[in-house]
Amino acid sequence: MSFDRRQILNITGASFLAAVSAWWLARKHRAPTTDAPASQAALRAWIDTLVPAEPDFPGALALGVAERIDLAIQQQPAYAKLSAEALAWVDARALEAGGRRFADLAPEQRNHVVTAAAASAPGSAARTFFQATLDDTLFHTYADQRSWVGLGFAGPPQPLGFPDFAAAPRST
Amino acid sequence: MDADVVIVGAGAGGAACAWSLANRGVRVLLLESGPWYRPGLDNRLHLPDWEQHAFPEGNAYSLPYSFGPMQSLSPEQADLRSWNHNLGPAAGNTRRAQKYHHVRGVGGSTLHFAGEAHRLHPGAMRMASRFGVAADWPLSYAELEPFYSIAEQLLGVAGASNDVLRPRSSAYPLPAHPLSYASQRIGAGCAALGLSWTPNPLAILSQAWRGRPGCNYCGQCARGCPRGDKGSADITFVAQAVASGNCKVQDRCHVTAIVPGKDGRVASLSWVDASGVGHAIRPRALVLACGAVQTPRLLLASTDAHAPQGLANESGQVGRNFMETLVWTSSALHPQALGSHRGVPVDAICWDFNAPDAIAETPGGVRFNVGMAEMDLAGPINYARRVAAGWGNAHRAAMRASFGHVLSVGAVGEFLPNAGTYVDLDPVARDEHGAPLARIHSRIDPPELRRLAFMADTCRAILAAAGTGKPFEEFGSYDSFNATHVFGTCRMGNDRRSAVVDRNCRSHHWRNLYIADASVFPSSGGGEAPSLTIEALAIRAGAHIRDRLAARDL
Repeated sequence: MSFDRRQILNITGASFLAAVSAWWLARKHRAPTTDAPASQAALRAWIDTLVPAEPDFPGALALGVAERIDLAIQQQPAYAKLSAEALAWVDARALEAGGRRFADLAPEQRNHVVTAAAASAPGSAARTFFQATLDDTLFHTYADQRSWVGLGFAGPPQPLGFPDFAAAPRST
Repeated sequence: MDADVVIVGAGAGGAACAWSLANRGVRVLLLESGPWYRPGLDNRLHLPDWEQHAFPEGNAYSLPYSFGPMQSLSPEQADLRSWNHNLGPAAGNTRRAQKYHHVRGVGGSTLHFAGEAHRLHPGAMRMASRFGVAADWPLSYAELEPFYSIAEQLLGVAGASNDVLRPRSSAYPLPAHPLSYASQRIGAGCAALGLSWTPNPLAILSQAWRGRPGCNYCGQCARGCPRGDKGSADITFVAQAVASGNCKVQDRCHVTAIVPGKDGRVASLSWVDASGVGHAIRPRALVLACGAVQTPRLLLASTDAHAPQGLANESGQVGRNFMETLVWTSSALHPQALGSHRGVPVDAICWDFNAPDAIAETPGGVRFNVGMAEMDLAGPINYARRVAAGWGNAHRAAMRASFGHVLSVGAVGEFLPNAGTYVDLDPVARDEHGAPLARIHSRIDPPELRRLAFMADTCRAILAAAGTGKPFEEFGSYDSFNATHVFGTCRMGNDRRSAVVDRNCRSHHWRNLYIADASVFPSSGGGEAPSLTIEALAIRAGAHIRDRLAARDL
């Protein structure tokens, strides 16, 4: 028996599509809190904060993840609505804490805003947006073999397989 | 082609039956509603995004079905709920209708199976007479054994031939696979608990065999095997049936009608091919091999004055006695880097509780096995989402510290039939051809809950003994119908009042109708994977049909 990503998400009750839908349903009779479109700069800064570059790791932005998530947001009305509200919350929080929009904050200050979003009430726009974008960012980042450096993963699985399977991994 | 026998469904049962017949000179038409597996198009294991894609993907490889209302969950069983430390607990107070895992295609679900090639424990074939549950098999292990051996030779099963639980007339054709480094660690845990841990018999080549290459241990059998070292039914039974010159395969064919005749024989079969062209045939014998969900659908939907309750449903048992897969898996991190994404997915197994009396006061067996690949914990994306916690630099550090460290111990257990678990026709939902969908009803009763609790406790104990930390993820059947192995909806038995088919898989009433899939199982076994038993039964049924044809009885 095997379980693909979506099945696992559903099994564990953490389907972020479902979470976004639930968030949408809970708010569809309320006026949006902002009319501003999702900020490209804020979204890119947000994704860069979730999965930043390191000396031997390109990070999500360099792997084109922001463009993929932006496309998903454009294609899914609920995701777009969530993003608009959440990014407005992010910028408001950034202005409140650092006097600048999120994209203009220093990395340490961005981290504080993301931490606040992650700690927001379950079901809130900020919390749901954090969960959904983190999941999607990881999903796309680690589908690029440039992200595998340092993990001890000599993939993809084919065509070579893992003929050293019975021995301790060479990195240990 | 003029066919003596028409087989519907080219999975394990239909393929093995086709080989059995064609190899004996019988002309066979094998109809399959799905496509042929195309490694060049369907398989992505050589690409970096391989983990984003399950196999199979798309409607071509699955059939629609529906679920009835699912049972409520009790807070008293909180310890049996599924959860993940990053994603949280399984939501809801009602059991989830997750998925009936199957593959519609030439080769059927063997296209995505992990290659397990198990013989049933002989004791698991006498559940009614020993424990008063399920039903006895109308044939013995000894009668089935020669056909197990034939199937193992066709597939190229690799195993250790010293299994004292299941007597063998011949050794496995290939030596067992070496255990992966991670599996060896789980084995150490089992040893510490006094449990056995032995090579799992697998229809995966441990060395080159009859023109097929040996396995290269990529661990991704569930996403299809592009090399052909896994013994899926398409490249073994079907290929050899076609090579005989007596078997023609037509894929992408949808059966539209099975017409019961007035003389206790199926009169005709109609289908639509991939081009939309309709066909009909009057077979000397018809074999249904569509699995325990779709075979009863076809039978129940085939009604007329001669079969008012549905074809072969004189007993009222078609669709009843449905048995699903009882599963549990716990996953945890080992302090050492194990490279645990490597190796065949289920290379080792513990049979110590496989006998039906192995668990105190709970009839029915279970087995324990390696579970990382089967839980899809064998690649960077799933590690990133389900194993490594946090975000930012902390998440990256967690990835470095955890990749290749996961150990998963899985368990599969017996599922006893109950009145709330069955397959019927959906009164509303229809497929693209206007036929009612199969509807799955499932209920887990107290015996299954006790068995499941034993499975969960033992998985956790094995992991702890192997030196892991506490689990970070657990998944089980209690809160989710997520079955791969399903059985029982056209039960085999000697009594026509309580069984659909006889000991030869032949309908008790319809003399030219046979069933060759897991729907004939009277009991599910104690965690054994069913494909080898399906194949052995189908080969045996094929031999019987050939004899009846020769005797002009069909």
